Amino acid sequence: MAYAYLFKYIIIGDTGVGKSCLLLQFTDKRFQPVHDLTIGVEFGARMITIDGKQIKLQIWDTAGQEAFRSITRSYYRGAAGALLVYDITRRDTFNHLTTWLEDARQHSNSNMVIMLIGNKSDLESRREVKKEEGEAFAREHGLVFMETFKRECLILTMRRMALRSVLSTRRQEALAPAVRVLAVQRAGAAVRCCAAHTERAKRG
Amino acid sequence: MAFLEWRRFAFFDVHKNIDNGKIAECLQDTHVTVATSGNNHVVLCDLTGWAHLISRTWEITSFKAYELIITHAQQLPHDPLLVTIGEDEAGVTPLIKVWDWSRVDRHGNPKCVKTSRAVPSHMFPTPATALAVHENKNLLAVGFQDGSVALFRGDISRQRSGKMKTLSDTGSSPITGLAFKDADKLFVVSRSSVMVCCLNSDRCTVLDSMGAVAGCSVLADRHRLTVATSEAIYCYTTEGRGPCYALEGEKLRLNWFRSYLVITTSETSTKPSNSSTTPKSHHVTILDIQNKFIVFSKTFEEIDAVLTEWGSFYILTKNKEMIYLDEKDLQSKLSLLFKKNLYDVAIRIASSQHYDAEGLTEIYKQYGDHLYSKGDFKGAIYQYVKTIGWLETSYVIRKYLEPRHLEPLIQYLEELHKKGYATEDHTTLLLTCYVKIDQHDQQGKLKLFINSKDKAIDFDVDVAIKVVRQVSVDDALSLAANHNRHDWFLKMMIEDKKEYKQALDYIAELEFDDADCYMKKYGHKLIQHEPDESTDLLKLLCTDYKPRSRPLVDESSLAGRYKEPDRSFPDDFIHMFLSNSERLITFLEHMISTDIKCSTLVYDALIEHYIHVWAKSTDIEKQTYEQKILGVLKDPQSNYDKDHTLIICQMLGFKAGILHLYEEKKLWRAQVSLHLRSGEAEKALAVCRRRGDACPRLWLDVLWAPPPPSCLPDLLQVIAAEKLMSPILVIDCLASTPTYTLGDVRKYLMDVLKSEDEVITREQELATKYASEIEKMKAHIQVIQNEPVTFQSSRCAACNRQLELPTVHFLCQHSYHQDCFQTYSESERECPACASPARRPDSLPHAAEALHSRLQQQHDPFAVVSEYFGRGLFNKVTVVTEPPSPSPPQSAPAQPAQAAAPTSILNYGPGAEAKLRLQEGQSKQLYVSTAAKQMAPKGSSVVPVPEGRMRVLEQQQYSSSLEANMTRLEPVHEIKRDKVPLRISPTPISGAISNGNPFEDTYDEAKNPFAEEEEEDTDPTNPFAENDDYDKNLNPFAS
Ligand SMILES: Nc1nc2c(ncn2[C@@H]2O[C@H](COP(=O)(O)OP(=O)(O)OP(=O)(O)O)[C@@H](O)[C@H]2O)c(=O)[nH]1
Ligand SMILES: [Mg+2]
Repeated sequence: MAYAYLFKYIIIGDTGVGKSCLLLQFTDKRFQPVHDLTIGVEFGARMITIDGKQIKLQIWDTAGQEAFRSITRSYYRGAAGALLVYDITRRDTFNHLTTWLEDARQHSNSNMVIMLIGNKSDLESRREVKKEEGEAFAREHGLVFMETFKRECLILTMRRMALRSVLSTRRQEALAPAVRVLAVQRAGAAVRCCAAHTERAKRG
Repeated sequence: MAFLEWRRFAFFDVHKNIDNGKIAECLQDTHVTVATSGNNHVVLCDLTGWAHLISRTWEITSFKAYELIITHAQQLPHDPLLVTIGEDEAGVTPLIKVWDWSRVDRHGNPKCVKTSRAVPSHMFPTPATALAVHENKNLLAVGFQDGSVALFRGDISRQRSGKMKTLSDTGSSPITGLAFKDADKLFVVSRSSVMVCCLNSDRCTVLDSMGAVAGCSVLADRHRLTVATSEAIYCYTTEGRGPCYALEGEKLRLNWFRSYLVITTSETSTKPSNSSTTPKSHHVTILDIQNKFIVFSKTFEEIDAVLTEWGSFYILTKNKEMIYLDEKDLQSKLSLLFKKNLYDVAIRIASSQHYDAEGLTEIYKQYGDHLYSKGDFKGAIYQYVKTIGWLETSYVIRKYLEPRHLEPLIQYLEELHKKGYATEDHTTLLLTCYVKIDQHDQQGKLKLFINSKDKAIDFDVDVAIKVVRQVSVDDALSLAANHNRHDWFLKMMIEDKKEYKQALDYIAELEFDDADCYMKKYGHKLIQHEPDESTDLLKLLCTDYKPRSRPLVDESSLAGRYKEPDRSFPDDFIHMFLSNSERLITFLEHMISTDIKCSTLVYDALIEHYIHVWAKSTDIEKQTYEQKILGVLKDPQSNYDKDHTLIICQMLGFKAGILHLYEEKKLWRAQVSLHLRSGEAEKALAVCRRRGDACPRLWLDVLWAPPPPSCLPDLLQVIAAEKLMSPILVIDCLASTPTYTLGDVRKYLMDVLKSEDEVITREQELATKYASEIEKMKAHIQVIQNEPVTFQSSRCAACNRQLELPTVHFLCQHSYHQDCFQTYSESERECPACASPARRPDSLPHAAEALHSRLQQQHDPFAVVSEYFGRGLFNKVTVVTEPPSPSPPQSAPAQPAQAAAPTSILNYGPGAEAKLRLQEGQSKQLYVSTAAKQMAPKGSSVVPVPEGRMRVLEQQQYSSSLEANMTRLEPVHEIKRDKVPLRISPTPISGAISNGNPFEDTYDEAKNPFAEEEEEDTDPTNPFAENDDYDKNLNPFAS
């Protein structure tokens, strides 16, 4: 299927915060009640439409466990955005956010959009991290923040992310017409996207 | 191990030493360098340059392929072609050889079909490190130590064909793996990178900047390159890096089989013992990538090769032992999983292996049962839902009947409905559940369900309504409204809610057909309770109905298309009004006032109810109603049934109506008698005066009443003038009424006597005159007889000229020339002058025609006919005319005429009709008499037959007598055509009338000379039987 843009997003965060669930929800509308640890990196894809343009979102779900950190790091490259997830019922996952953020900033392009997601907000009774805390953290680090547990929210979030990406891509196109990032065809779309980022990084 | 987290199963059984040591025997003490398999064979190459071709039955063919060593080999999967790279001489560039082992050379070894240098001639010789052969036999790639890749194109099984080129940009680190993806892409794995080369454009793209060691890359599923590094296994597509699976450990080998990834790692012995004594051991892990399981994991001694051939895995250890890994069949896998209660895994496996639906259902069921027994009812129902369509629903429902399980049960039932497996009972149960749960925690589920317009849950609406109705009529109503179940809606509105007004409003919103239908169905109740509105609606419905919400002018009419408006027949609704005459009247008046043509029923009903109302109303109202009724009755448009109306008028005593109807039907006598009965002789007389000309009987009727004396003079005068009745009878009649005084009748009597007197004198005068004439004639006769006659006329009576001889003389004193006489006379003996006026045939009036014209002119045909009877005309049966074309008598066997004659009457022509009508008449008579009994008001003995029936009776008498007689005569006529003199008795008519068979009495059957001929009458070919237009009435009167 043809698409105008291909964006790569990466989901990061501590183990058990529900990253795989988010992905599954987003791509398959399913919910997986059992915690199947992610071993390594998995991915899913979904088409959305913005401004009548087909946009393919490639979402990479990484393993949250410390042991896999070295593997997952290599997946930051070329990502247009990251979903940094924590579990509102577990404070330690919130505490680790700084580490994750550093990791992400270090291994990705500087213009990567990062969205902070406080997950499992349906488990209000077991909440350990207040929403305000999440908001504060996001403000402090210049992230987009939201708490989710509903699929609709998630899709909305992804659209917002995608929209930002589209805009920034267009800006880049305007800045450097020589580097046509407009990836139209399936083949090599991701690669070209990456290339654009590298190009920019070099210049900057 | 980092693998701990993936679930681990043992889906493979280990069978050691499957080859009975044959391989060990063959290889002896050398070592295997390469192992490859394909085309049902396994190929092992050893250090000494030998290749061993092993068949499934462990037969081994060994041949010396190279002088020194074989470093790489690949057996094509579907061809008996083996490609090898090896060295014949040390230090020299490696050689590629292609073996076709289906053919043999002179030494009986597989034939080497191609030999070529691996390194292009312009380059320095360097060891080959990787080999890939495309199964299309036209592509071959070799990777080298220095990082270059050589690509051969062309038929690999021919010595002299193909071109070779070196791919650019493949880096400089040793190539460790090559894999063709289709015929246009080549994955290249070096120590330091993973690349994909587009063969057509000769462009290499780096997919990843980390490489792998030899043997640790494999093409999975024909399109994904899987590369193992020490910490993980990465997947690549031609577009880039894909998912990865973390797996610690030093990888030695990767193999792909079906959907399994076989990983050989070197086991780092945990015990830090001296490694020289403990033999190295290798660990084999098999991953099910799709389902994310470890399906096998076991440590073996050092492994030389992993072979995937003959549908399974074979492991060749360093000790040359062949170990066979036998995959368990699905059933045993599943039971293994069941034992561990890993139903979700079982389901995943089963569905990935395309297990049949029934089997899957069984797993779901077991899973559900398992969860249920653990107390996870919601989880269980989730599984049970998947069994819908296979598992008996009662199995599940029974488990969830306790009230605390309501929600899961609802979920199950909803799914059942969504999937369309729900029966009526399920709907009922679901709704009951909704109701219960709503009672419990006010979730409003029922409301939600009812208001789900789009029918998210598929259910039988009717059943649902039925159930909901029992709980909450309001909900049922909205359910019905939502699903356009008008019938239900109205039924509940009317029966349960008794909101007739709302029901009416609802109907008014419906389309015409529905509105019509439901009004017919419920109109009765509605009219009973909401008479005004219902009537209004009915009016609309019967004239120009449109659903209330519809705009007045709809598109179709705007577009110029005129559609005949739908309208119901008021007839259908009349009965609904029952006793509510006022409503019905307004309704019907409305109907009549519109220009739509109404049926008889409408008028009848209107009139009937008018009269009913009239009967009940007070005097003043009576007036207005009378006006109205007469208005309708007199309206030429009114299309009412007169008889019916008459009966009603009579029943309720609506005199004005009766009179009007009598007038209409020309039943003046009835009118008169009505007047007389109500003692209004004047009115009766008025009728007589009006209609007396047409029907003189009226006067007599009045006379017989008897009228009050004041009317007598008029009456008697007319009777006298018209000679309606003989004075004797009149007097007789008058005498029977004691109240009359002589004064009342004096004038009449005087007149009668006077006229009688006159007649007598006149008659007497005539009598004397005739007597004298007779005398005269007698004298004349005397003269003729006794005295001579002198013929003294001198002129011929015919030509009036002078008589000349010869002459003819008659006693009447006429004389003729003989010639004249002969020309004029018809008979020898008569005087033409005297005979002709009496004999002229056309001067005779045709009797039949006369009768007919009289019958038509006279207002009382019966009187005419009886007059004919009185003259005895019917007795004189003389038929002169001959029937046309009599058929020759047929020689049929004689049959009794007695039988034949009636049949002819029965079956043919007018006779049959007469008979029928006769019967009809009889039955009518019967009816009349019974009706008369009913109708006759008690105490009145004067009128035996009600006026209304009188005319019918008259007609019937007429038809039965006259026609019957005429037809009865017909057989007689038919007989006559044979010119046999007819001996007819003087009483056939009376006989016919009394017996119905004119021949019964008069004919002796044995003597009947016509028996044979009469047989013809039953003959269907009889021309007369069919001769319908033959005027039957003419015959009896022909003279
Ligand atoms: N209540 C609730 N549970 C959730 C939600 N998202 C995830 N979970 C549960 O959290 C557990 C972990 O979910 P995963 O998505 O497998 O966690 P993960 O982040 O992928 O973990 P790793 O793969 O180890 O990094 C599962 O048991 C889910 O059922 C949520 O929004 N609400
Ligand atoms: Mg995960």
